[in-house]
Amino acid sequence: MTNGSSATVRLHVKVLSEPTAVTRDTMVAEMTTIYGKVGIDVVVASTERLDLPVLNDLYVGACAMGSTTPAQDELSGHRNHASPHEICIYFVRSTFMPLSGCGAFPADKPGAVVASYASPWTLGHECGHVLGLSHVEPPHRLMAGAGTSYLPNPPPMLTQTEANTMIASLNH
Amino acid sequence: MPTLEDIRRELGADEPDYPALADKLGTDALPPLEELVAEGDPRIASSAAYLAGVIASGSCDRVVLLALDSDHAVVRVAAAATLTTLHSAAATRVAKKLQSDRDVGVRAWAVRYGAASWVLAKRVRAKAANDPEPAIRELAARLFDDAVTSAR
Repeated sequence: MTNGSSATVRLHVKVLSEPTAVTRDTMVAEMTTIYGKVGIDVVVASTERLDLPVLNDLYVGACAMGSTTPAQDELSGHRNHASPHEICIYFVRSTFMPLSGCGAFPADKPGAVVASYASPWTLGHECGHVLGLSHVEPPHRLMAGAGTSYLPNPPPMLTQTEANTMIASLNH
Repeated sequence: MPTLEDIRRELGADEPDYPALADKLGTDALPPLEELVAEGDPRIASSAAYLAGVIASGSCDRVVLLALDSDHAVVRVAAAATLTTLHSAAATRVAKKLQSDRDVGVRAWAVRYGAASWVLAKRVRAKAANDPEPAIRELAARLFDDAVTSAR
């Protein structure tokens, strides 16, 4: 951890499709900046390519925590190099229904998917869900329910209360 | 009635609530959804095509046909969502086009919906069994075997 940080998010990146709207590096950089402001470091611990053509447009059902689809369960089984509490990020071509990302995961396999047309802040948003955050109203916040594509004044922010929830999840 | 821009913003959310949008907008949204599919932004067009399927009206044919001709595979995948809501003749035509798509992911979604539809199952199963992509053949075998098992 860097000086002044309270916790570290370790990400294990699994690439089925490269994002097309912005690069993975941009998404990680934006997440690092936003999380860093509230004392959380972000580290990409590993990167792996997965050749899974029939999971590349991933069926996520209602994208509801605690209720994952067989396709999500199958994809979440690919956790090379990741410890049980570390987050796997699956870059897919799309989700079905079409979402920019989905932070629902099977029990004990923390992870999220990010679609190819995601915004620069979708990765940070979906990891927020994985770490226990829900949607909020204010549009300038990272966890805004209206999404991260129409931010009034980017980059979006996390509150310290949200950070405390995330830190507690990471240190659990 | 929301404007085209209102609908675009709703569909541009990271996680649109499609059932709520379908309830709120209804079939009056189909012309603007057609416009959004035609504009071609893959993120918005795929969401618009999907929402047209959720609205579940026989008059979403125009939106579906546009989506099927998109250059973006993600939009063609979203068109598969309409298979369960189209009239059977239209669904058969759409399934046939999806199963002939050059993209594996699009063909996979045609197989998934075909396996769940008594109207399409026989045709979809036969074509999927001869797909050049092994992953499609395996998916079809798994889905159709599951369907047979659950029917017992």
